[in-house]
Amino acid sequence: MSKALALVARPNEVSEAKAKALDSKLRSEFIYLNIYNLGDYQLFLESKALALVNRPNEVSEAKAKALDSKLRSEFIYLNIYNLGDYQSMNRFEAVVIGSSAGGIRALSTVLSALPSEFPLPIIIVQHLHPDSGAYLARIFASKCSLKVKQADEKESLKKGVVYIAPPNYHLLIEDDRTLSLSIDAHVHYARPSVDVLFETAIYAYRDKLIGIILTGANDDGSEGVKKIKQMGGYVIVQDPATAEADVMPKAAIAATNVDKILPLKQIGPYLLQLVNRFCKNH
Amino acid sequence: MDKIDIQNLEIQLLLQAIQLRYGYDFRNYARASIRRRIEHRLVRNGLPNISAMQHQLLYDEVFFSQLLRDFSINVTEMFRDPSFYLAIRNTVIPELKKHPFLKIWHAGCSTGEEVYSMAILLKEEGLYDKTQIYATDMNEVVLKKAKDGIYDISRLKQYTANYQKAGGLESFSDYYIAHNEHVILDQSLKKNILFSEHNLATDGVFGEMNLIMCRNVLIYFNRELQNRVIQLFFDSLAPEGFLAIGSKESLLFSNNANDFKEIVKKEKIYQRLN
Ligand SMILES: C[S@@+](CC[C@H](N)C(=O)[O-])C[C@H]1O[C@@H](n2cnc3c(N)ncnc32)[C@H](O)[C@@H]1O
Repeated sequence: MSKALALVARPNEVSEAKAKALDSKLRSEFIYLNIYNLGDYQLFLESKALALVNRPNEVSEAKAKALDSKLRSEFIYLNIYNLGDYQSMNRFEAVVIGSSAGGIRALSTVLSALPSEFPLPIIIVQHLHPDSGAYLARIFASKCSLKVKQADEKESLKKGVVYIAPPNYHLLIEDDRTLSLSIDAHVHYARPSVDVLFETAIYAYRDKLIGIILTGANDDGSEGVKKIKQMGGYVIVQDPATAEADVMPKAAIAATNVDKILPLKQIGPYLLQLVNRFCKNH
Repeated sequence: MDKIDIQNLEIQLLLQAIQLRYGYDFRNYARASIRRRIEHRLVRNGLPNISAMQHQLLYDEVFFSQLLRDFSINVTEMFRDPSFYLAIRNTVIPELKKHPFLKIWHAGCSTGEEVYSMAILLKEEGLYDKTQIYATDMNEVVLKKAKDGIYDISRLKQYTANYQKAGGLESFSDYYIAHNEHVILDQSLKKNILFSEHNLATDGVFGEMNLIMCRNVLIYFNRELQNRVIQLFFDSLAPEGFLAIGSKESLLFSNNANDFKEIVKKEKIYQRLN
């Protein structure tokens, strides 16, 4: 393991074959740790983790879970950032965002922090009055440098474009990464529903999905974030203390072990940082 | 293959089993929505997996009819999108008035609200008596409700408002009687409507239409099936006949896109070119 880490520090010296072997070793170590619920990654690096491995009962479940999610992101970091041939692999391929009461302002804050060459598509469900037309897309288009549009049925998702669910329709992502609309029954009294978007996005993007929950006054989206985490994706939730309505972020936080809870202003910059770190080929 | 891949395979097999056993073809429906409905039914009936569901539906016709209801989303209302009906009144009706006899087809009519809305509009424009209306759906349960023309009174307020916004010329209350929890539509509206089963995925042309309405049905289909259905509509339209689709639907993925002219862009009203 310490050998691998030395190589990691000198990525250019790693041949493709070596990097692959290293990766599979890292993977199995990771899985091993995962299964036995062990070790903080930092400890692991200092081979203290190995001591813990031998005493699995000393790690509480909560601690193990927290460690696990830390390990996951560190592991991914090593994988993509430091090992030669993984330089071209994208950790994330799409961002989905859900918001409700207070969401228009919150979304404006998040989106305006992102540059026009943002390397992923962003798909948004904001609860709205059924008759509100395409005005949301127009508001955001005027406030941010990304291209913003109302989602059209069957269109293919493109990086650097923000897609907004039309009022009164559910927005779904198909496995071929095109959009569909439906007028199925309301979910959590909402159409569009955040859960519907998130749950279908998981099938299309699996672990390459970032889900974000912002302000809102109902618990739509909490089922979705739970499933994103189960699939190995990444979840950011707005700090309820900074939310105009805190029910939605609180429900998301209660539903699963989310990766980051951030004040509204930091979400955009953090997202950008995350994506720049993990998505190299844009 | 991971778990999701295997589940996708199960869905594919399930849809094929339905097609072989019952003739309904959902294989070219937009998959994300079908998957959600399968998952709901799975949870509701406490089935362990989709393969178990497949086994059950092969042997249990009652179970299949439940699933069929799950698959056909019947959400509808009277004068849905009032501005659409206003556009029909202002743009299409004057053209239809030039014909001695009319045929109108509502494809995917669900429980009939759309059909009766059109019947009211035709009455007010003096066209009803020379019109034959065909109202079709793949789902016999909703067709039966459509034939009855009896709706829940809780929707009345919305329908009345829609009717007014749609340019209604009379009072909406002229067209129904309220009875307990129900609104019973006027019998005279039914005279020229023929309700029948027709499946857009598998059935063909049955007449030459002056206007086809197929709203909020195409969104449930994938591109391939959309293309088939638009071809079917093209073949079913009289020269210069009209086609109206849902406000979020488009002819973009149809090979026939160039055979239609946009009449009212925002309301998705098209006319067949010669
Ligand atoms: C959401 S409703 C639309 C009702 C109405 N046209 C409206 O816009 O309010 C969709 C209807 O399409 C029907 N449908 C779905 N697939 C169909 C098919 N292959 N052939 C005929 N009808 C179909 C469903 O049974 C359902 O009643």
